[in-house]
Amino acid sequence: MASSTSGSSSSSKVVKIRSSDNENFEVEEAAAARSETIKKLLEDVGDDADVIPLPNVDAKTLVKVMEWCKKHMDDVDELNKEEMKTWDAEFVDMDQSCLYNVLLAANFLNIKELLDQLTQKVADMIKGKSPEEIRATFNIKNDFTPEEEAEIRKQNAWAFE
Amino acid sequence: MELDIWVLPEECIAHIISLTSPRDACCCTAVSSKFRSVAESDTVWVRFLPSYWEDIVSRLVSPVKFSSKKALYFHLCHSPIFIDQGNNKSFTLEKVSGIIRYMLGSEELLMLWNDVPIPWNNLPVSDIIPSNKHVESRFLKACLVEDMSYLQIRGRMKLKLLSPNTAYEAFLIYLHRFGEIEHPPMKVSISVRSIGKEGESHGVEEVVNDANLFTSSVFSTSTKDDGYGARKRGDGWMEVKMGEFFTGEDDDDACEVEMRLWETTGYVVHVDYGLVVQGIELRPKE
Repeated sequence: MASSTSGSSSSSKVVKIRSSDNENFEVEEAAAARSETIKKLLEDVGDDADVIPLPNVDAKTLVKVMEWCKKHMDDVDELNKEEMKTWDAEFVDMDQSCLYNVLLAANFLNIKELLDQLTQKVADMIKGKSPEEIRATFNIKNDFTPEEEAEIRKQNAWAFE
Repeated sequence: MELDIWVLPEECIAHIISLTSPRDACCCTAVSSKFRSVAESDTVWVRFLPSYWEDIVSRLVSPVKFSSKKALYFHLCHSPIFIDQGNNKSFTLEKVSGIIRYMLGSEELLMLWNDVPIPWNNLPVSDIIPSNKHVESRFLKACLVEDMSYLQIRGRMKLKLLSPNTAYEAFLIYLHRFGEIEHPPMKVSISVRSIGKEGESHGVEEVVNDANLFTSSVFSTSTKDDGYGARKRGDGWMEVKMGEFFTGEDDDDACEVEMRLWETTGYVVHVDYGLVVQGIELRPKE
């Protein structure tokens, strides 16, 4: 099995994974193993594995997820921490459909660090906003009657100041 | 077409809201009925409570019944909540952030004279504070100090009882019983340390400062810029800063902060004087 600490891609072992829409990808094992789910599957099937099917993740999303895994394949030293932070911030800056799909994939593939970055991104989209702004950001329909909404605002008046 | 946020499971949205703040979670309740049910869930509000909330609830002087974690959160925001017996330790959560404020009453502090512990002169507040002074006292008792020369006051607090990764300030809460006098500044210090099993301490970082407990003192004019100055509080008491510290991630049971105030000059006051000490307050730095 290839060592996950190995930085050189030429010596790394490659695994095949298949998206829900039947596209095959070849990924370095060290990158794919960032997913606890894939890592577990690889351990279970050993070297006999042909292609690992991922029935919950489509090709477009899988490309995104593997882009992140490849970048986070090696341990980051102190010098690269800032650079990685910038890269991560740019990575999570995607449209909402894509964001939710990658988030669901990170959850299914069990990639905790990626999941944390994505949930934090959505949380940052809520922070400091008024209910109207939250509705506009996430395209949510207000289903309260004016009386109900007034009552909720009254209960937590301090939060709307 | 853009996907709806509800493609995410409810637990996931609850987790996302718990990464915001109590204020943001309250705003979410007014967004839509579905958002409201998630934003009011225990999954969200348990994250805004102190991590050791079960321990706190079991130590409350007045037991509390709560229907949800949100209800408990708001109960703990109502100041002051007394814990342990004796009504001399209280805390409250800051509503907007959930950050813990703590107050140690005078009975929780140690008083020394020339490094020798001496008994506290703890008396009912109504007996020591003249009725013409309008003060709201958190504790039933306060300490009366008549001679301040070489006095030392010391308070200790476990770091894990405070909010993690937060910059705190500590203040001595006191009152001049008969009005101010002239007196040199006192010394104050803060040190954070870890107490080992044998009682030895590690990582002591002591920062010493001057503190002027007397706003009109002739001595204080020269040191006003570099020391801490006295301030009048909304509740009628005075406060002076003792220092600041950062709690960090460490939830090590042995880590504690020590706050000290001491008199170094031996200055003797030749008039009838009384310093009334209510306690030490720990609150997030503004």
